[in-house]
Amino acid sequence: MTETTAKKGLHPHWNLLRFAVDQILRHRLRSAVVAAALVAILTPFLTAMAISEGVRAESALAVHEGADFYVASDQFGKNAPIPLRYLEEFARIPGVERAVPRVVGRAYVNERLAVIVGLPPASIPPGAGSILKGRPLRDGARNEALIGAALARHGGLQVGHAFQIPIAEGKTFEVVGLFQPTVSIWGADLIYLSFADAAEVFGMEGQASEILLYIKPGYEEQVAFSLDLLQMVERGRIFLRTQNKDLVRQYLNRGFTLKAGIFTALYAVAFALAIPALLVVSGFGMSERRREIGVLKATGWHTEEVLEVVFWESLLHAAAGAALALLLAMAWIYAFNGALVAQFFIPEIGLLAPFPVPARFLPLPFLLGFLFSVALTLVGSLYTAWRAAAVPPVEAMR
Amino acid sequence: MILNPLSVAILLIGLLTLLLAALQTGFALKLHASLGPSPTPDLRTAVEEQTHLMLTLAVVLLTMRMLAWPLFYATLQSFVPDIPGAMCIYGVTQALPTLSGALQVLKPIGFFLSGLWLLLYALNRAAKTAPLFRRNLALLAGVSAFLAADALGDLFYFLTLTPRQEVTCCTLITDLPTRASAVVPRTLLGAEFDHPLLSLYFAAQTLLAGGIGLALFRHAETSPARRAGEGALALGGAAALGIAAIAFIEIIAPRLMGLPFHHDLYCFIQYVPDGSLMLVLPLLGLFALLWAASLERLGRHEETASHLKRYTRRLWGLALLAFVASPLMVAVHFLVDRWLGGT
Amino acid sequence: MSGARYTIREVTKTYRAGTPHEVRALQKVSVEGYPGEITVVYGPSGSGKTTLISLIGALDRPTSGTIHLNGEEMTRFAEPALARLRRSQIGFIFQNFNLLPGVPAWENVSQPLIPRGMGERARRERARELLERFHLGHRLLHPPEELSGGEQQRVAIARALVGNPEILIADEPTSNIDEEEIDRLLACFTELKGKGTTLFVSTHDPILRDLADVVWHLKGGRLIEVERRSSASLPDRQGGPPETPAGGAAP
Repeated sequence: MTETTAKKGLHPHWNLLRFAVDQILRHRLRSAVVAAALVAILTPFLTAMAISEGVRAESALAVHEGADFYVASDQFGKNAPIPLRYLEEFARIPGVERAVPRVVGRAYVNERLAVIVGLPPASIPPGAGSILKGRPLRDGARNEALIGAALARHGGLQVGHAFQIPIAEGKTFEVVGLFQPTVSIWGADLIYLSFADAAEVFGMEGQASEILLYIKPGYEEQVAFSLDLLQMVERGRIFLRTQNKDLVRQYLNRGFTLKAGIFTALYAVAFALAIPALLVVSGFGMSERRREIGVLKATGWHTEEVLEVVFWESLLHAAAGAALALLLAMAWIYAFNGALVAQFFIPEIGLLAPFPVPARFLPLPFLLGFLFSVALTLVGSLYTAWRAAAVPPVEAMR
Repeated sequence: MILNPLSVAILLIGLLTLLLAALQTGFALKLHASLGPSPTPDLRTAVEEQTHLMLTLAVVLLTMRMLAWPLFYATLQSFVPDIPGAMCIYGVTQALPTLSGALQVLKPIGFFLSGLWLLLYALNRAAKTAPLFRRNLALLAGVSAFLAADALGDLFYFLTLTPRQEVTCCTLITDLPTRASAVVPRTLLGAEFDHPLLSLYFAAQTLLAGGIGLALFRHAETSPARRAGEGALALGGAAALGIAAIAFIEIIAPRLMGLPFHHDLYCFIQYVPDGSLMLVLPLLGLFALLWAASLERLGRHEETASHLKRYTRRLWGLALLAFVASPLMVAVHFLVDRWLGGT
Repeated sequence: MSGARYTIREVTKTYRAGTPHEVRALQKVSVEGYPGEITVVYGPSGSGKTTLISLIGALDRPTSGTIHLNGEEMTRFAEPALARLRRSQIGFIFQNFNLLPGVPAWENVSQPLIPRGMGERARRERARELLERFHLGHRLLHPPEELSGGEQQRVAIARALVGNPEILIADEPTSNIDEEEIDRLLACFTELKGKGTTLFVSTHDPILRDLADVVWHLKGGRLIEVERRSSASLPDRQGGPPETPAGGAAP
């Protein structure tokens, strides 16, 4: 048997890969410890990335369902209420299909912070959610409220119940319906009131937080131009602050990308700290392997071949760790609702989110996780790989 | 800095590479200095043990740089929404044009040098007494220093790139009639250079492939003749790559993208899934020819002579494959486009 | 040097050289080994037997001196060349067999073939062929833990022969087996010799001396005698083997 009789090409590498698989199975405990270390590091990362992508997707959906322009007044660079007299003016702009006033504010209801949105009942977007119980708000009716299912559950509110909002003394509202929001992160603690009621609650009579403009397709630039003209006419009396759909979408995207980036940065630090840990873990059982490697080398294995086996093992550990971490991340989200991680991306939700935390498992974060995993195992097991490959063949004689 | 998961990933990989490459450079220089021309057996054994550490480090380093190369472009792509005016990678590269340009050149050179070192390593280990050991160490020190510089460049670039830099979109530069890539073909082939340039592209690739095939078939036995042949093929490869680059920018990419007036390769690799492969193959072909020519000079020794011949033939084979595959892919795309257009 | 498989000149091996714990395992050993012979490296424990066969088997390098194999100075070889030598020309039988625990016998036997790119089916066939030759055809799937000491040694011999080596090196092969297995072993060595294999056997067991063509007597790291046992078994070669210790190694 000489070397020339054996097949060349990829066969030796395929054989070494299979040998690496056998080695992983033979040294189960060591493999399990390395994979577990990787899983422990990767699972929160993949969970966080999935939640980040899920929240981003829901935000995009909310923006898609929303108005084309959001016009408020500008006070020292911040949004400020806009007088309702502009409603008529905006509605007259060619291309504007509808102009809708909206009041948005936050207030405690039954000791829970709720988002209160006041809109003319007919203008509540149909895609905002579905009514679970009761009915929608009626045009012209006062002191009625449509409440998000999660808020109702936590506040013990049912259809027909009455409740008060502490900042609106003396006013009592009746729950006429419960709804399940399409966008869980924003809709869970939501209360819809009529526009007039909400303006009264927040002391904004004659004003709106913003006016929503729905534009006929193709008229966006013309409407923006008209708003600029109006601004010029009104110069000195009011500064209009206009945001279009694309801008809102961009803000949201950047915000989530930044948050995901911050999370990844924190993780990168954790990963770097994990390298020494992996260095120790990957060295488990090395002494028992020394003689085996010595035998391999005594029987003609090259150092590079031993090294290749060790690298295959590292890559397989990385792949197994990343795959297991993905499964655990899914379990973390679907069984534990992303507890402890979701707060980073969705503020003020407490330890356990009162609504199903949105999540999306996209290929890129998984690939990134795998990349981190590979980098980590390669660098972490570098010393071990060297020690293994450098075992002299004479070790077999000892 | 623009913070997102990809930028963090490339920074992490850059930092790890920098540390490992610096370590590697130090190791290689130290070993090179400690190993005289005729070491004692014990010293030799000790040095060989250290060499395994360097090989391990080198493998990790190369893997990381190979991961960093596509990640570099993916990260630039992820910055498009953050750079005002940018609509593709081209726009992002205009934020710090000199540094991004330099990094894009450094990466393939790093790949070439790493490949050359690996080949020299393999050649050395194929010989009985490892006669190229010291040369190999010196080259490794150089390659590691180069990779460290590349990683340092990545770190500096991604840390200094800020989101508020206004840039121009690719269409405002690459689609102008006065664009740089059109100057040479217009001067040499006239204003209507489309058809002549495309013919020249296919002819150049075919001629080069023929030359490589001939060299494979009639491999020169004498060293000077072989070296001359390798030099000629390397020069031919460089010329064919140049022609391919212009042809891609001017004709192939716009046609395959279905945007006849858009001459941007960054958009090309985004719009055409196998576009990057079509672009990388001729580069790989040129590298294979250059590896063969460099190895003939760096790896010459009486012990390596027979191996060198084998390596050269394999590298030429790789070059032939690369230079044939790319135009073939282009031709298939053209045929499919014509067929789809016809139906 | 002509005709000799091995030419060993002035070979010294020192462990932990230059330290207070320096061990001189071999001192200026010079001797020649011939093809197709059984050479027994004989001596008490600590005499340097294992060190000498490790050097012959290209597992280690001497601190000084030279070893030529088939006329080539293998002490100049780099590690990859030594590995190629072990892969293509040398087979080892280790004292403790050194089989991989938990791995079936056939895989233990075929393990040296893995990096050669031989497919699993071919490796299994080759292992089966060898194990059947050593009457272990029914033990293909048994791991070493389920085999007796003698069976383990036969698996180890099969592994050593799987690459058809020209040289077989055995370290204390009788130390872990019973008498019946020793008889099998001697028969096996004789058969291998008959097929032209060169054998080097390190032992302190006198039984193996009877098998030898040549006995190298070692003591305290020095070669004290080269004993040629049977002129009838002299291999066909140009120039005869030395009848006395070569070089300055004689006491």
